[in-house]
Amino acid sequence: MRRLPIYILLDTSKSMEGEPIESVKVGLETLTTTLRSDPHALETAHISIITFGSRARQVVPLTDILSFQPPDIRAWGSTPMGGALSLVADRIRDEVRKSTPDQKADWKPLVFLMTDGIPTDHLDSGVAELRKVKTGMVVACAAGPNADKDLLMRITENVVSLDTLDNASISAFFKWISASISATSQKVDLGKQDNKGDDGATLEDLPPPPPEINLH
Amino acid sequence: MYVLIDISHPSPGRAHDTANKAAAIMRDILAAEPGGAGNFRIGFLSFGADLRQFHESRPSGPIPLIPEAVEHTRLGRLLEIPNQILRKMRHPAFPLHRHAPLLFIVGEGQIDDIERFERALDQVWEREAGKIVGSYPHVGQGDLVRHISQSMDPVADLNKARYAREFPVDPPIEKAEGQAPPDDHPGWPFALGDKDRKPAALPNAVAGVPYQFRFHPGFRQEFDIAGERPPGLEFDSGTGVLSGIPQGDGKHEITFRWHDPKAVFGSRVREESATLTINPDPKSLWVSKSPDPDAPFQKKNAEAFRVEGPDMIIAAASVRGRSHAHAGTFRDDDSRIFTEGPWSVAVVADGAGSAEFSRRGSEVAVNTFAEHAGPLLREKLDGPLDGIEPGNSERRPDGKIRTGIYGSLVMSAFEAARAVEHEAKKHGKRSGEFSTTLVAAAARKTSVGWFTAGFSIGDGGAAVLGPGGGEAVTLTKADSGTHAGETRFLTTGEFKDTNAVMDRIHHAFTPNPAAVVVMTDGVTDPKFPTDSDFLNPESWVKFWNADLGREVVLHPGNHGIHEQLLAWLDFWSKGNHDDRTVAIMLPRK
Repeated sequence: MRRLPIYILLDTSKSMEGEPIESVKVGLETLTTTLRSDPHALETAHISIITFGSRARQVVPLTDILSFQPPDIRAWGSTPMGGALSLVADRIRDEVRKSTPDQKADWKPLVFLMTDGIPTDHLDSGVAELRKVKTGMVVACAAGPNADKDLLMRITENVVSLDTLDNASISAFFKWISASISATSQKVDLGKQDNKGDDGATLEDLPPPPPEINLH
Repeated sequence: MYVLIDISHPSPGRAHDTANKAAAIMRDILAAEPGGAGNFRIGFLSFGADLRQFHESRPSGPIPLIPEAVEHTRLGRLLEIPNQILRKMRHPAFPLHRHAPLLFIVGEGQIDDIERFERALDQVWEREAGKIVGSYPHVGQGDLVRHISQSMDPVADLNKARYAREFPVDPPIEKAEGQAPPDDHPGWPFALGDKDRKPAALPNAVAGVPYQFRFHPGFRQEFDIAGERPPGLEFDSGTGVLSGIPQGDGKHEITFRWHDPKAVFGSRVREESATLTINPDPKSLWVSKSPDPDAPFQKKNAEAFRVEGPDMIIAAASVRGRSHAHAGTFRDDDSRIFTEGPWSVAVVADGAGSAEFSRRGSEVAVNTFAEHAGPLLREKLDGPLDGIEPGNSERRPDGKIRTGIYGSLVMSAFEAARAVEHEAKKHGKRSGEFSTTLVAAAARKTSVGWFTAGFSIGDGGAAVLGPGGGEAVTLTKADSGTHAGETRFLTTGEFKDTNAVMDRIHHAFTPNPAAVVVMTDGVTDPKFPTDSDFLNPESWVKFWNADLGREVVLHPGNHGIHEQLLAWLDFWSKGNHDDRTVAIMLPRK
């Protein structure tokens, strides 16, 4: 079975405390509920959650939608974004299956990152680690006024932003992630890409984002 | 598990009392441990001016004596002790590593070493303590302890810990289709009930799939579900087993109630909640919609054919995949089967799902191939094959045969690639919008048995099977990439490198073949999940006899064989919902 791995990297630093972190929790609940009723995602998508607050941790390993349970998360500590990128690179290397004579490869993983601040550790070493692994698409979201969009451009060219850190914006972002997972699950089920070239997926391959999300 | 108990002023009496009760509860908890208590340790640590770890023992050890009250509340210093032990506990070699450690802080009043406490608490989170419960109703620094879930009743929290510990460590009984949660399932073990956290989540269920989860009733009496049971599930209060065949879908909150004869304070009737998510049956979510009747390049959702040749019968069936049916889009696969003189030929094509008009691309490809292949096979291969003398396989003209395959199958595929590109141009589209794969096989009789040849670009595959489906020889090259979903498509560019093209040519002589099978990846992916499976003759024996042979009468005299193939193509395979096309050639005996 070819899996579509999805890695969701969430900033859980102290500045996310209160409404933002509560909105993230609700967002994860909604995402789970939505994907449970999508037959493509249910059979194909596998989700992992990595949080970075004080330390980067994989709070949910790559798990299919049927077994997935939204994790309990808290806002605490600093913003080790570089560490989160190194960790996701490590997890992709470990969890995403490559094609061998005895196993079919997984689809290339999608990575979504959301942050409300700037990294408190060395971002570039994390970026370098992430470049070493093959990803289908990396989307970074600068949430609220204190996030630095230009800095996120160093991670990926697919950067979106939220003007505010309120419930409406954050839930819009999670709905969009959910729609993107559905659309990609369907797409991978329907067809294949030519393996000669780099497919170079961009935001245009995802569903159009709602008005709360700005494209860059 | 660590219990940190404040014995500082002004709470000496209460702390003393609480700590002694806590010790008794801890012993009960460990007595009820399913795997024996040997692996578990409890530390009782007191914090005051005179910091001491007054007790750390295996559960069989003596109950700690609670010392007298002291002046200061140096919780920060104290927290560093379990911290060091937690660091050890996260080590994979440590037998407790599957449990998130539990940490309880019982006390009240001001904390004197706030900065140290904050640092230590941060580290405790980093070390993934499963639960920290604190009791600081009178603390002034609300900001400080907000990360500890506060409680007015430390003993109740300890009772909760007892409940939490009694969930079994072993995962629930494995469900169908390998959907058991992974070993390190999130939220495992469960920390129940404190109000800042969600109720514990039981492992998810799937509607219609038997579910079983075992609680350890332990010390509980009259342990039962207080309110509604999730639909389809029953709870056996004697064994603590929640089981049945769940129905519907949704998230259910289950309230458990029991009688606790050893409850220290208040009511002996206790309640805890847990949530259970029932997923819908994945099969029930698929719908079937008709494609747009006004779209260009209409194509039937399914078709099946049977052709009789002089030496063989050929049957083919092609069906729209569940993915396309769900989205209301067209089938992208196509196929042609035909005979020409002594030859029997089958060609199948899989239009790329990502390409808008690939349904037309696959149709043009198989039609063009069919137009050219018959005459070319006769012209290029009949000569070398008719010249073969029986007996000496060393003297077979393999070079001439391969050149002949190049001149026939490969040239027909090249014409097909040109035709697809021409078709795109005709409609003012990029040729990438008509992308398709192509898999072809041809067979005829010779003086030394049956000759078969295959050629393909993109995945899917073909093979010739010996008697009983054994001794399979594959006739195509696997074109899958490092990551899933990468394949190659039929383009004229693929024919530029002659050596690479020659690598795609395969042929075989089979004295007494059972069949030649040609398939798109909608069939090969679920039936031969890996390249090894595809090359392994045993997989083919299984496929031929235990799978295809069960639903299709594989006999040349079966006039309904194509309809049976079509019915067989409706098989269920998780995650494999592409269009499916299969063609088989059966020699007349």
